Amino acid sequence: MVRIRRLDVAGFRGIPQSGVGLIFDKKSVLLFGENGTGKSSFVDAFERLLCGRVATLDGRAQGLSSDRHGPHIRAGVNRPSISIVFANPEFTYSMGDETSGIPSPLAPYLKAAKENLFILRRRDVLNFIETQPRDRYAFLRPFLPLTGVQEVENSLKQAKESATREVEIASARLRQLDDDMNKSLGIAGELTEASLVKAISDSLGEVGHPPISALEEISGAVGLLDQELARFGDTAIPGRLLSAISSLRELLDHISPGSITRLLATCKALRDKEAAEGKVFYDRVLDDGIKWIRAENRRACPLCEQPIDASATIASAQARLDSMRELIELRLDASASLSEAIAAVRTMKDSAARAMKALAALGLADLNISTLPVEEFSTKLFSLEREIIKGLTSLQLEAVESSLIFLRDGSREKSSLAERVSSLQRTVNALPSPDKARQLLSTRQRITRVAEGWNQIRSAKVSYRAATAKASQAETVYLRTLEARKEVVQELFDKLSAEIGRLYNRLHPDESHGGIRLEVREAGQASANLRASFYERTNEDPRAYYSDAHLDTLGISIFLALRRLHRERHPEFSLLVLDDVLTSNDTAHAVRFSELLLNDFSDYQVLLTTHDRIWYEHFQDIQARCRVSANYNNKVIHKWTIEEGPDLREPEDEREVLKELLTNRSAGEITSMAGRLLEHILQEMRYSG
Amino acid sequence: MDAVKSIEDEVLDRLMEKLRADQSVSPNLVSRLEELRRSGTLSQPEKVLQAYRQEVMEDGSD
Repeated sequence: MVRIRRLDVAGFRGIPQSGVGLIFDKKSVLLFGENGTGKSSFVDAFERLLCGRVATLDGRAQGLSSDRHGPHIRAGVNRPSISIVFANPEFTYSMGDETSGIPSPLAPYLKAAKENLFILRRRDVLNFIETQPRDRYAFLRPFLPLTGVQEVENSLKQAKESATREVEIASARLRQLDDDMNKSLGIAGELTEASLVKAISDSLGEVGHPPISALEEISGAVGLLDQELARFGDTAIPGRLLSAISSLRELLDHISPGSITRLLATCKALRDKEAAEGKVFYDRVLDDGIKWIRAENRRACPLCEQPIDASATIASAQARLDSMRELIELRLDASASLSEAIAAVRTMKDSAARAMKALAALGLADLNISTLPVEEFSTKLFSLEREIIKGLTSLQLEAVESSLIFLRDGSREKSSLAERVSSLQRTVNALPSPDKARQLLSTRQRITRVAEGWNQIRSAKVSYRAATAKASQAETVYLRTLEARKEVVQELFDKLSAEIGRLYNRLHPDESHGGIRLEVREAGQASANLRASFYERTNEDPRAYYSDAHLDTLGISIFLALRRLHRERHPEFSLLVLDDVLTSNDTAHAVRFSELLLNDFSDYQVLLTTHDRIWYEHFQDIQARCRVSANYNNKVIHKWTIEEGPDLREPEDEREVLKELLTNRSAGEITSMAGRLLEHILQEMRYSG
Repeated sequence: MDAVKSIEDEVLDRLMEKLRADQSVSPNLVSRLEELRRSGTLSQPEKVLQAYRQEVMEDGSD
């Protein structure tokens, strides 16, 4: 086990350049010194060397820093020097500013020390109790290494949002296909298999063919049409031409900037409104806030944790939501427009692909027809889809607007397609086929397209159901993840609460309070509530009923419980520093604290400072009673001066030096040392009454 | 108190346990998510989406 042999400090805080060493000799140290004698200088030195900062200076107030205010005020240009000598049975290592050649058993010790969870100062005792719940949770974060879980949560959340977007797009696509089919068949209302059968049967009736009773009979009906067409010789070429004309017309029908224009308009209106509001309006936050306040019957704001009047806050949030209803609706509009625009572009792409296929089937070289206009269209549609799929926030309105030209009536691309249709139609008209044959071909083409369209709708329905199932699974997985994290953290808090309660009860046995409980709250930001019981009152903020002394011991119990938790994660790191933490406790409680420390923390190397001489004496008695005197170096700072810093020299040392001086040195030197010895003797006499 | 070193593992173990017990989540999807966890790719949304997609496809809905 790594232990500290000594801490040497020079030119830092209250310790002058001449330097002072605090000898541990691998034991714990009990350090007594009156106020302002430099006890905390050793604590600051530990923190500076092991953590790279001093909490009482760095980050405490603007302009304060350990770089600037750490050095002794008379250090001049000299840099502070702090070193710790570590030892275990295998090595002795002196660590100063240079940290090369650290022995491997020391590395985990230093790594754990850097987390800075081993020092409790008097001024920090109430920090955990007094702080806001969200800061309390932040304080506990080092004990909750959840970065990886957070990444998984974010990933599952993004996957859930993508899955939801896919449902919206699939739904818009289905609506569009239904609309197309309704339009082409002249059917109003819901599209059903029966309505399709009727529409197809009507078409067949127009050319004198028997009706069908189910869509599966379409291929039979097409076969009958083909038999009749065979009487007119080879109708393959006009058939393919009509198919190409039909697919090109369908493409032309689908080509419309409408959905994209709507997307641009709603997106622009949304952005203008948000800009006019001068700030981003988080309706979701208000919505969720109202839910949290209601569900948890909260009396504090989910975000800032300040006390609130729940009903007034809900009313105010609701009023704000109402006043922003227009903005909320714009958001919903824009989101719906986006899904519809994506679906519309995909429909255009599908039509273009069908047109390409129909044109390819023609044998274009023979007919001198080029697929180029359709190819060009497809390429532009791909670019457009890539742009709008980025989502509302990233949508580049101007870029999209300028790329829309090809979709507008009269555009070069659209005119070129229309010209292809006319050209193909002229070719059909020039073919020597009677009207009856053309009518049959047209019917054949129509019912084939209906069958194809129906397959598309069925496939779109399957896609919609699949997207819905996927979104549902994604939602479930995400919610279960949140639950799992909350439960595990709460269990950890429960263990921590139990340990705090155990320590607190050791300090206050047979007193009717305790029941310390830390609770995780996820509303707004992650936060931790602290609750305690006091006689018949349970689940209360301890500040409501506890005395200052009880709050002090609660603060110490919390710190010690956290320190033990930290030790479990880093068993090799045994240092515990308690800087004058007992101030408002009576003797009985101070004695219990001493017993607790000596018994339950006997495997820690402790630096315990106090300004209370009586407690210092008690602590030594308790050491003897607990038979652990050999584990402690009990030190007294006799006085502090700005020139010499804390005086840790023992009277016995001075007596030895004096003896040596008496035989060999001058009267002046002897007088000086005798004066110092006398000073110490007088001080001891003062304490001994 | 138990060691908290593996708190992340505890959370993910608990998640898998919950998913296995959830009748609305298919066992195949849980296996896929466990596989992603083993390969350290559960934090990649596209991999997760792919798992959902495969699951739906194998479920025969697609």
